[in-house]
Order: sequence, then structure tokens, then C-alpha cells
Amino acid sequence: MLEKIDENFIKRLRLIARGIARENCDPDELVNESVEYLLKNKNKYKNHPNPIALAVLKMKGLHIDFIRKNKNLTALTDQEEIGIDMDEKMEISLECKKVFEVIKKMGEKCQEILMLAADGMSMQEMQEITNVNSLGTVLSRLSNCRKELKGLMST
Amino acid sequence: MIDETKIMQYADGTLPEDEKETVKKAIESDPQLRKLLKDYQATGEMLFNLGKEIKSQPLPSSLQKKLKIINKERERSSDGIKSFIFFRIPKIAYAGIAATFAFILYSVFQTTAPLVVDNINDGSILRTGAILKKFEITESVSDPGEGMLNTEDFKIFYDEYLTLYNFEKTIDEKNSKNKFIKKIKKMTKAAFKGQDAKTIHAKWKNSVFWITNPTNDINDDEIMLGGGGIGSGSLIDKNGLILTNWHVIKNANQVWVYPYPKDPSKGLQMDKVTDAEKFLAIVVAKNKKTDLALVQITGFSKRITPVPLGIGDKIETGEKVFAIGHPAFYGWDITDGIVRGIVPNYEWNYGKPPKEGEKFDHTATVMRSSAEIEGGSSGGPLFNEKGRMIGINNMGEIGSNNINFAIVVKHAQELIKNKEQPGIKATATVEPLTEKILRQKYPNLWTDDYSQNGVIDTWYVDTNNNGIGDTIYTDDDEDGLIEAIYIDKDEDNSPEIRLFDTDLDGRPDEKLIDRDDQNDDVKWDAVAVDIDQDGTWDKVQDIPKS
Repeated sequence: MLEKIDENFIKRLRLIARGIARENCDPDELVNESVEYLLKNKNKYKNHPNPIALAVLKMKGLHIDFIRKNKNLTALTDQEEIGIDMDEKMEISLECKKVFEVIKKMGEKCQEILMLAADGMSMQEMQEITNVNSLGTVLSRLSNCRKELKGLMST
Repeated sequence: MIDETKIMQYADGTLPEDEKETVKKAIESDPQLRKLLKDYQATGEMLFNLGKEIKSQPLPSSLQKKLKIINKERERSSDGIKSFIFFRIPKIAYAGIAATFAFILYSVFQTTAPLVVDNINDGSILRTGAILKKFEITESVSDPGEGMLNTEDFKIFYDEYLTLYNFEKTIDEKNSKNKFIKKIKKMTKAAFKGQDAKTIHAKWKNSVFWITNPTNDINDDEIMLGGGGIGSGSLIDKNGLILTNWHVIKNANQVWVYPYPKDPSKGLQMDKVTDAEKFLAIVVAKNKKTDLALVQITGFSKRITPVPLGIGDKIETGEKVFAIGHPAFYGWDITDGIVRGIVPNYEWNYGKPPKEGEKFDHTATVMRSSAEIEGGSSGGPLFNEKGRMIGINNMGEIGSNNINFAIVVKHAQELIKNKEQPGIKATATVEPLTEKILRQKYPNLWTDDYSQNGVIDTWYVDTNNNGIGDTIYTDDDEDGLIEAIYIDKDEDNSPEIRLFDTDLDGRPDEKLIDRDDQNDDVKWDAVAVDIDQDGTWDKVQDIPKS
């Protein structure tokens, strides 16, 4: 499995983490801890067919853990801003920044699936990660979210 | 009518070849579909560019460091060369190592309390006075601290033993025919006369607890809904440490522990004691390899005496032993037998044997005994005639003629010592969810008494502040600890997810999913469990439709 964890692997995780992390959870910290987990369990997962899916699922678990420990749901709206601020350090084009900000305002399922799509994942991989029971559900979710994105971008 | 998702796939170029022609024709003939195609192409491009730009960002320093570590690991594993670790130690460290060796050598020939526990197990130490001195117990116990074994009990026992032993030895040496001396000698022997089952049961039944593990179990890779195990455990320390088997507390961070009933006349079967006084015990240490675990309770009766561990007792084949436990739902049962044999480094699995190339789950020195045990006896003590625990009953051989196994107690010593070490200590922050905690989070929640018995058992929370409750917390057994959370995200009054905290540690470990929520069948379609309680659902399984 180790041979699959390279710079590109981590960069893909960074992208997907931005579809998972909310509030003041640092997406890079999710990546860091998830990679650490893979490293620690490299023998356990040495024959895992899809380390990227495994790493993303771990990030989701870590995020749930983070929420469970730190979250005060009533104060969410303000904290969401922090997540965006953090990513403003990234040097990306204005157009992409706008797309990203719009995505961050969408529902959590949309955020997740759109970032997975941005990574170029196959529908099967998306199904594995989003834990839905049919490919049809993945397709319709992605389709609806993309329509929503288009609508929000036009306004 | 063409499905919109087909248009999306067409736009992305992921539509199967045989469908392309039909979709293409439909798009050409319908202006609405053409617009949709354009929209999908636009969002496809947006997402592609976003992905490309974010992935092109340089890694922050923390991740760069991680990448370096991974690259090094990869190089090392591809080389297959491992340098000898000793030569990597900086020269300055040699002095430290030498000092450590010197200290160890010094310690062996001096009096230190931890060595008592370490070395008395070789069976030869009670033979000569010189060696006896080596293991003399002093007041300078280095760590009498929290949760450790009650060294005071050891001290009293060994002090008594040594006094009597030396006394007897002196008499032997003098070889006296004096009647008085003979009488004393007889009395000394009487002090060491083996105890019978009646005495052992009367003395130690209160120190043996009944343990129920509420978490779901996974057997042969199948999630067993509503499963959970029962077992036994012995109080070994005045701070409430209970020694049991790892497989008894498996998957749980907390388990229920039942003491011997105050009124045993009602009966000792499982159904008679479940409503009695019970404790929520926290799993404080576990070792899967040796199949042992420690759970801790607080607030128990101080009259319950910890069971002494016979770490120093030589286990001899043929010696008499007694097992106390709860076989087949019968509480505080005692059986007797003999040690049939000792098997060093015995390897075993519960359930399926390991696959080819895989190791056994458990390895430990075990003894075979003829003291009968059954399901429910796991984790219970195996006493010798001196009334000290020499083994932890863990399994019987199915189909055999009464071959039962017990893990040798010296492994418990390793567990107690390693209680605070990372990797063995349970990592969960154990805090059951209560109404008080819930109210701190959601001051605007509203409550309900679902069972209509005057006790609040249901709390509704509106997490998105739209005036409609979307999360329901329940405490069905009304013990003040919330065990289930129902999530109704689409606010249609029919929850689609139930999270269950079976071991009441504040972390959900079972998730039931109603995938076809819209049809209001109110039936769960799938179950997921978080076996290691790390926040990730480790296994998901469809629930068969009945």
C-alpha cells in the first residue's frame, strides 16, 4: 500500500478533505491524521484494493470525532467562515475561489460528492466512500448537486 | 424520457458506448436537454479546474514532513535491509546503557519490591535462605500508586509465609523429638492445609462479579444484532480493578458489572440479578494477545475483599483447583478439579481458525483443568487450594471430555503493569450522554415522557433552528443515560438513522439506516458497527427483510 501513498495521493486527499471538513476543522489536519493512520496500519491494510477510499473514509471518521468533541451546533454559522478563511491562503484563481465558496455553502452531501467529482473519482469509488447502496443514488446525487451548483453560480 | 443522469454522464464522457447514440439523438431533438447538457459541461469544467488548482498547491510543511517519512519507509521496505539497531545508538548513549545494566545487576542482588513480583514465579526461591533474602519485601514499594495491585496484601501473605517457613525449617534442623515441638509442627502444617470448595466459595464469592457486555458482537464476520456477551471477573484491587477476559469486554469501552446479590435467597440466575445493584465499569486496560482485560468500578462495597493473585505459586500438574463463575446463566457457580497440564505459549482463536499465513489471535501460557466451565464462566478465577487465583478461566474444548483452559495469572501481572502504557490503555474518553450535557448543548430542546410513567425519557432537538425537531435523544431504560439518537434529516417525522451507544461511553457504536425512508416502512435496512470505536464505521451489513 505504501507505494501508492505519494505526493499526488496526499494532494488528492487535500482536495477531498475540503469537501468533508466543516466549521473550524482544519482539512490538512484531517489529511495528516488519516495518512498517519495508514502508516500505522500499513501491515493491516497492505493488500487493500483502494487506499484512497480507505483514507477518505478515515478522514470522515476523524471529522465525526472532531465534531463530536468540539462542536457546539448553535454556533456553527460563524465558525464556517473560519474554514473558508483558512483556504484563502491557497493561491487559486478567482473563478475557482468563487466555485469553492459556493460549494462550501451547499449541503454537506453536496460538498462531499462535488469534491470527489473534482478529484475525478469514478462512480464506484464515490459509492464506496459515500456509503450509499446503489450507483443510481450516487449518480442522482451528483446530478442534483451539479444543477444546484450551476444555479448558485448563476445568481 | 431520458434520465438526467444520462445527460450528465454524456457530458462527462462516462456514458457506456451502447447508450451514447440514443442520448445524443434525444439531446439534439430537445432544447431543454441541450441546456442541461451545457450546464453539466459547465459544472464539469468548474469542478475539473477546481480540482486541478487545489491539487497543484504546494503541500504545507506538516504534510511535507509526513511525505518524507513515507518515502523513507517505502525505500526501507523496498530495500529489505534493516540495519542493526544497536549501531544506530549515538556514542553518548552507550554510557547510559552501561549504567542501566549496572543498575539492573545491582537491583537483582538488592531488595526491591517490583522484583518480588517479577521473580518469585520461578518456583525455586523458597528453597534457600540466601535467595529468600533476595526477595524480602520491604516498605519501599516504588509505586504503591493508583490502581496498582494491592501490595499490602502480598506483603502480609509473604510475611506470614516466611515466618512459618523459617520456623518449620528451624525445627527440622534441630531434628528434635520434643513433643511440644512436634505439636507446633503439626499446627504449622495445619495452617497450610488446603482449602475446600465450600471455604473458597464462602470466602471469595463476593469478589467475583458478573459482567455483561452490551455491545454488538461480530461472529464469523456477521454482525449479530442485539448480541453481546456475558462473563465473569474478579476484583483484584481495592481501587475497583476487575480482571476478566478480553473476549468478554470485546468491542466495549464500558460494561455492566453485577456484584453478588445482597439477598441470594431469591436465586442467583441471570434473570434474578439483572435488576439488582449494578455498576458501569470502564475498560481501563486490555490485551488481545493474552485475552485479558481490566475494568474498573467505583462506589462498590468496601467489604468486598480483592482476590489475592497467586503469581508466586508454582502451578503443579495434579494440584486441586476451583473455578467460580456464571456458567450458562447460573450465577456464582463453583466447580472443582485438578490441573491436567500446563501448556506454555498456547495459541488459539475463538471461532474460526486463522487463514493460511495469518497468526492466531491469542497466545499465552495456559493450564488445562478439569474444573468444569461453560459460556459465562469466561474471565472468572481459578483458585488453588491456598485460595489464591492462579488462572483466569477462558474456554473449554468443545466435544472433549472436560478439558477446560485457564490463562496463567502471571499474564495478568503484565497487564496491570502496562495499564498506563499507550497502546494497551483504552483510549476512549468515557462520558455517557446525560440530559445535563444535552441541555448545555441545546438549551432550547423540548422533552417528552414517551412511556408515560412520569419520567422524562425523550428529548427533541432542532439542530438547524427551523422550528422543527430533527434529532431525538432517548433513554428507554430511564436510567438517566441517553443510549440512542434518532436523526430525521429530512424532517418528515420518520427518522432515517439511529445511532446507538451500546456501551454508554458517549460514542455511538451502532448505526441503523433506513435507506428507503421515503416509503415510511419504518424498517431499518442496514446496520453498521464501529468495532474499535475510532469514529469510523468498520462494517456495514444489510438487514435481511423479514
